[in-house]
Amino acid sequence: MSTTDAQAQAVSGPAPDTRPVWRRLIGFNLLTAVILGVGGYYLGWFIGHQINTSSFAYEKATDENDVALLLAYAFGVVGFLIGLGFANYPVERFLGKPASLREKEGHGTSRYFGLCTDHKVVGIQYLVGIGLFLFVGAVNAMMIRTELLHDTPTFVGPNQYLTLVGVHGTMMMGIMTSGILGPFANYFVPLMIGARRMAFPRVEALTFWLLMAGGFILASTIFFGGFPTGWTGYEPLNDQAVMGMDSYIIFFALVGISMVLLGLNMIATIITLRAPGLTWSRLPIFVWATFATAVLMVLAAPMLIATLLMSALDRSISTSFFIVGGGGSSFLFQNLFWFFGHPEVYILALPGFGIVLELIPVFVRKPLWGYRLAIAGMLGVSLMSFFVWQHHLFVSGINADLRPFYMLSTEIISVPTGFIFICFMGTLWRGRMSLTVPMLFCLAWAFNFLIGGTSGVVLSDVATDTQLHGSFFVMAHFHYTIVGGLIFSFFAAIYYWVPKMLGLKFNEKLAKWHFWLMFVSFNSTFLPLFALGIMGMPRRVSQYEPHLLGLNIWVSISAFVLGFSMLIFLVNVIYSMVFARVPAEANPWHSKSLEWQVPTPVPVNNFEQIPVIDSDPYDYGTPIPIGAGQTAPAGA
Amino acid sequence: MSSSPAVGPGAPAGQPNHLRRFLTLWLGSSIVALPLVIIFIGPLLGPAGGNSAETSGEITDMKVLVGVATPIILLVMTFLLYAMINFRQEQGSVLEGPAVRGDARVQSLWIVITSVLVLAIAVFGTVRLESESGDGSGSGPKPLTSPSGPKIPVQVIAQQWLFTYRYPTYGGVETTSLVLPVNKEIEFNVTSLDVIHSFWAFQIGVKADANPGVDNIAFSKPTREMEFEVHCAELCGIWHGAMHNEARVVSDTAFESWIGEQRARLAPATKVLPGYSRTYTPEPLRRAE
Amino acid sequence: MASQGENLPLGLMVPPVAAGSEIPPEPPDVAGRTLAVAARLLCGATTFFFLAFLFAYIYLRSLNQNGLWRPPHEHPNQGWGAAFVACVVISAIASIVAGRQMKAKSPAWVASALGALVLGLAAVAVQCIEYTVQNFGPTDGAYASVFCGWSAFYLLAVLGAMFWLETHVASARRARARIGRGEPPPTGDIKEPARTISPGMDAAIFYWTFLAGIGVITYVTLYLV
Repeated sequence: MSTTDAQAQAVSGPAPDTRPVWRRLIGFNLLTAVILGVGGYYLGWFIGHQINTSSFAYEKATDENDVALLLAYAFGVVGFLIGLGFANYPVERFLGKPASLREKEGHGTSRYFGLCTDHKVVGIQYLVGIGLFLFVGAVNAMMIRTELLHDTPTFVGPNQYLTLVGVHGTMMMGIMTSGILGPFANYFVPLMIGARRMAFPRVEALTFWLLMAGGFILASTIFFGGFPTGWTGYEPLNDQAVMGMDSYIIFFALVGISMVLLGLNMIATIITLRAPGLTWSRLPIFVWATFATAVLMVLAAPMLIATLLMSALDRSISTSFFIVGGGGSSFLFQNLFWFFGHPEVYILALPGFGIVLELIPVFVRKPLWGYRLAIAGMLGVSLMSFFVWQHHLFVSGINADLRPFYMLSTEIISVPTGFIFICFMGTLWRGRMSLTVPMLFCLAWAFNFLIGGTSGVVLSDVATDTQLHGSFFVMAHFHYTIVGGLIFSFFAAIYYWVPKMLGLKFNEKLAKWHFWLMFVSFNSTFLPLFALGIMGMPRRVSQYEPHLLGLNIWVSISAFVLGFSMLIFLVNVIYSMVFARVPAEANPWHSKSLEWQVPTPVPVNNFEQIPVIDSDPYDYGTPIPIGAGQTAPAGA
Repeated sequence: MSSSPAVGPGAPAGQPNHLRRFLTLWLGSSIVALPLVIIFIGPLLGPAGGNSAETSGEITDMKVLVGVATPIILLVMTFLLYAMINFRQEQGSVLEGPAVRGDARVQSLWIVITSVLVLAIAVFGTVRLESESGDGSGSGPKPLTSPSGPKIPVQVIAQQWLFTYRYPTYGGVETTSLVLPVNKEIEFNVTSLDVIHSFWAFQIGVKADANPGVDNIAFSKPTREMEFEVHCAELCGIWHGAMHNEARVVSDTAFESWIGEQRARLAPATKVLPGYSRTYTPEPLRRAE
Repeated sequence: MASQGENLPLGLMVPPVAAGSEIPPEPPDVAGRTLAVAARLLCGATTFFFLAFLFAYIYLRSLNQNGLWRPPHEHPNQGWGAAFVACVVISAIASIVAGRQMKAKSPAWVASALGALVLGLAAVAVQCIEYTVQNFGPTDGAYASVFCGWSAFYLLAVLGAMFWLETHVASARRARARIGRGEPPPTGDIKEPARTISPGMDAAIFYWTFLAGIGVITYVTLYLV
């Protein structure tokens, strides 16, 4: 069997590559991808200019050629993917060659810089790629807060400011949809379910590279004039905007495609590749959260793609989906966008639920309390998230009959969200808590998401929403849920799982500094935003009433401290991974979950033999003796 | 350490009754905090209630919601603190906790209480919304309920990057400043000429999005003579932040004299304006090619 | 293994993988289940994609902003439209027949599948012809926008489904040619090519039939209503 051959070869090491450097660089790799991507970009640009000729006088007069830019980006992405080798398998299948699982693999670090079908490699690629674009988004945030240090436009002009706001929001939303599923679900779901791989490994790699291509496209908006709509891309302002808007459209469309494929892959893997004995009721809660998220991804993201395509058509060939003067409607965009947009924010929130509920049993040495209730909560949130979207449109002039229904549905969705909290609290009850850094982040998650969630209930009431919609109160609400919820759980997952992924320990002291500084500065930054909203400051402005100046200065300074805490994390990463390099044990947290039972580093085929599962991974705790008042032996 | 028995909340030998202690802490803090929040923080949760009928409604709603939220927030936060202090593991040891996987009574109680609470808030919100004719929110061209009695219509026309105000019952004069008479029901008809804007009259508690081709109606009854701010609350392009103006609520007589003066001064402009209409569609109708 | 790890830059502790390693595909029954799940999920995603256009149609038509939903002279060409939907439906039926024949181990399934493929491509061609003869374009109002956008993306989806079907037809022909020449099967392949092709084919037929259903709804909404 070639598997044992491969393993035997792995033990003795790969044959050294003796080809000259230039020869090694030829092939389907990142360099080829970049070259073909740039080539594709210019090809598309050329074709676009040939197509888009005399009938669109506006474009001729202003050198604004949206057809050319959209085609350029599209061809560029296709060239990029071809260069990486993603077209090889479809072409082979077109010619009728049989399906084979893995490409001819490179080895060593080159696996991380190209198409790799090993889910562990894709997980690490995601971690680095997401970190890179999170950094870009965070730098934008720091620039926004710098501008807001003064109550009139000071450092950047209004167009640059809006582009900063737009790129910050869009980058964060687009990248963080796969923020936890990308790195951690890709790496650990197969390990948690006892499989050797994901269901569709090439598709998995594709989702990563689509996101990377998209991120660069979004960053390139600055070369085309930026975009003025913020991350929501509302028409008709969208239609009015200069070419930089097309970067937003293509980025978000690529994110949408990536989401559909990622969700599809996750669901197929979880349904079909579970180890023997792993029934649905024994599945780790993180896998359930991944499942619930993936369902939303598969169903909601296509709406986004369709909406963005309609926007692109409106911009490039003058259709009238959203242009009132041509028979379209601005409400159509709002409804379509938020039909995606609301499940989108639950795509952001659900993995966080999964992470914290997965981690806290390990750190309180108790089983997860209310396992079925937690699942019901997640699936309930998932289902209900499709029925609430018009709460973003309460004051927009939609049919007033609809508002009580959406107020009700929005408030009801807080009930399944509450299930997560009671399960969290029940797990902590009478546990034996060790305050490791992942645990600290989980506790902070509870604190932050509580504030975020309750502020959401305040917004769900139409009368209060009248004052608070479009103000900084909404900003505070979603930053508390997304940053306070998702990003904090993201860091919990990093500190928890990176010792397994990379086999190296983080420096504990730096980690604790990171946590405390981040927690305090995060709350110091975003809590006053509630007050700013209540005091009447609208969103997405760089000039505001002078009496709000003091509070804005406080917020900006706290934001800089928050940024500094991220630098501490970066220092920790570089120090621990490059200099200190302390190897991590195979199971430093003494977790009973399946992914910790494999050695570090994780072997290529994950498991020597596929395990047979006989219980869920929450087998902690001294069993309760039958009869009251008995003292059981201490400890494990 | 001993483990706790599965049945009942009774304290096993040697362990304090955590449940009783925690509940005391929580209920105690809630009983203290709730009146403080409602009395001292409540009035700060929006523009002064006395400004208009809408702001007083909005302050009431905020007080109710924040009041309901306070014990819930205190529940989880006291719990987190309590757990961090009392349920600790010594540094370095890996002792196990009790293998409790759930408690049907606690779960049912939680489900029932949260559901009832949420439904109550939803009913409360709906009743208040419809009894207050939308409470200052933009309710579309056909609001569900509208205030009885005479209303003064004021059309708010939003464009990039300016609000103008048209008074159809005063000859259709269009002004760049907003002046309203006190203690009169105002019907705002908000529309846009280009992109989506939002008319936010903060101190009188009105927010209505301005969509092109749509007439968005919001009601307000200012009850105090004051100056207030109007901001655009929906991103509408690069000068979105600059799209604000000062406005006033004045006495009846002051309003009549002001509007008379505006009509006289702006008569030549009013003659060439398009006739008053609920929405305006700037020519040409078809897309520029 | 540890020494191998420490030699890798950046401390990445992952085991080396032999260059040129390949893992054989999983047994066809697992592949079948995975592809079946994937086909159904793709159906869900495709539904929601076209739901956006359906919603746009209903919303813009009911709004009839400025009376510009559908200027009175705008008609799509009914003849070509009927031909389009006929090709789609018959192609779907042919693919179902191909699936049944494959289950009955009849070698005629390849011909049926090929027929489905040709008809699907014909549908795309027919609709493209219709675009050239209809009396409106994408700039002519809201109905025109929805018509052109919806049908164009539907054609792209049809092309995707046809590609998927083609891979199975091509696999069958290549396998037959190989057996005809007497060569042994490639690693992991089984002597009966239909067994390896069948799971993917079932999934492709499921997806294509579902997409054909969406095509019927497209036709009814855009041409008839």
